[in-house]
Amino acid sequence: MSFECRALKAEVGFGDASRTVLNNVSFDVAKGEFVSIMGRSGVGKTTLLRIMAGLMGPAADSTVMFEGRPIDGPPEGLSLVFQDYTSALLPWRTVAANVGLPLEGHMAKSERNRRVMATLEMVGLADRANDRPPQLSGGMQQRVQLARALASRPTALLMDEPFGALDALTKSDLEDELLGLVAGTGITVVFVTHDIDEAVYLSDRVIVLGGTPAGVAADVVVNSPRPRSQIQTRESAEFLAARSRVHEVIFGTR
Amino acid sequence: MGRDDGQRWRALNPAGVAVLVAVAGLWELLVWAEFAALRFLPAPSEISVAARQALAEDELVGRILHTLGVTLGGWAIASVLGFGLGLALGLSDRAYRYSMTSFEVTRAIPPITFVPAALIIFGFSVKMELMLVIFGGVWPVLVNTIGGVHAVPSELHDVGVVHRLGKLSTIRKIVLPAAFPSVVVGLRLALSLCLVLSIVAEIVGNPAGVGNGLIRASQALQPPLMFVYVLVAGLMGVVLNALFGAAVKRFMPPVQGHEAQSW
Repeated sequence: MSFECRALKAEVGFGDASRTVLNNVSFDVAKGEFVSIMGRSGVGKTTLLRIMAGLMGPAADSTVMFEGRPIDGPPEGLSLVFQDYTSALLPWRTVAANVGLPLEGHMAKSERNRRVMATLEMVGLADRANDRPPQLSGGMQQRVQLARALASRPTALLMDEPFGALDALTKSDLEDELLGLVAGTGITVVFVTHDIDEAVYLSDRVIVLGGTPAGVAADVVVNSPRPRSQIQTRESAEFLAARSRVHEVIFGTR
Repeated sequence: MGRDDGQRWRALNPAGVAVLVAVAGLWELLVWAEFAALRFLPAPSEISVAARQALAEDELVGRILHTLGVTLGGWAIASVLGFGLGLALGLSDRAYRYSMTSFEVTRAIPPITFVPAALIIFGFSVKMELMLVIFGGVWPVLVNTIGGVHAVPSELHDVGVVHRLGKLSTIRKIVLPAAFPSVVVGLRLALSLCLVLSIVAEIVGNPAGVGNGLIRASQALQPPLMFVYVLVAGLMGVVLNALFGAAVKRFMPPVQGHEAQSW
């Protein structure tokens, strides 16, 4: 099992201003599974992801484990792709140096350079290695973040609305690229999004959060076969069934 | 970088210099036509004669070197103090909470008001001059360093945590480069302020340097020489600022042309 969440409870704020955002959230993510987390704005998707990344702790008596060990800080083997690439990349570093950041101190320089170039090759940015992030388009910057997350060869990837700020065409490109990158690598992906179509298109399962404080409102399995395609998959009965189900849970039956 | 430099110099030169020359010419005309019939206002031509005379003697150069030395020495000490303290206060919320009230109160005191106190404590000495320069120069560096460290986006701190960089590496690889532009602003403000304060200290206290030359020329009723010192002080400010700008360009993390400003 990649992730195990049992009776997870989360509070944000301090003292009197503290409020319970998530309560009794329980789910598993199997190794190699692609799971999306959905829910209305403010429901606690990002909070859940930050807990899974070890960036904040859950409330007492919650159990959150990564590969069988409780998470009490960012675990090894786990990478996070942030929502806002403009503040998650280091603008004073070149693209290559950004991607190499997690490898610094862990391997010789020559080995690191090889790894960085191979990873940039994977996301199609090998020719921009010496540019700096502000010189790249939004889609390219998000690719740099993806490369940085993959450079340490993680077993699990957490992504926080990574394509939310991109235009529809770039987004669709990056969705397919992401699927291509994780296919066959066995990487587990937990993907937070507020786009139903995106969640269903990418995922094996869509976990919908709902209520105040939020719990798991639905756990929808997407049966569409892989590899997926933007045209056939989106027209398939399995896709449409999962899409309607997620829609129903979020908005209620209409 | 080179291209940017070229554009800046081209933009500055012909038009800007033409205006300067025109203003000087007008000033000259007004003085000779006695429109500006002020007894002690010299014409630019008189000032340039006095400047040539002053340059022929060693005195002017010696005074410039003294003021430069005190300004740069005081600025260097103020910068190290301000940056070190600023970094500590920016990184430690506890240090910030305990000491910021004291700093805010002290900072609100105009450095000039310390002149009489410094005179009594240190006498008419270079020490008194340095104290004043350091006291004034430390604040812009301190405040801008704290501001720069506090303004580092929380996502960047998260980047450090997620990649398990550790505290020192996070400071070295993320916080310092991110705060760097703000620190540079503080250093630049401090440099101008240090020059002003060294001249003030020389006018009222330490009998040396450009400030002392200025007040002596004034008291000796030599307006052209006095204006030579005024212009020298102005030129020192311009040159120091230009040197600082060049050093920043040279040593700052290289970021493309127009974005250089924001980083």
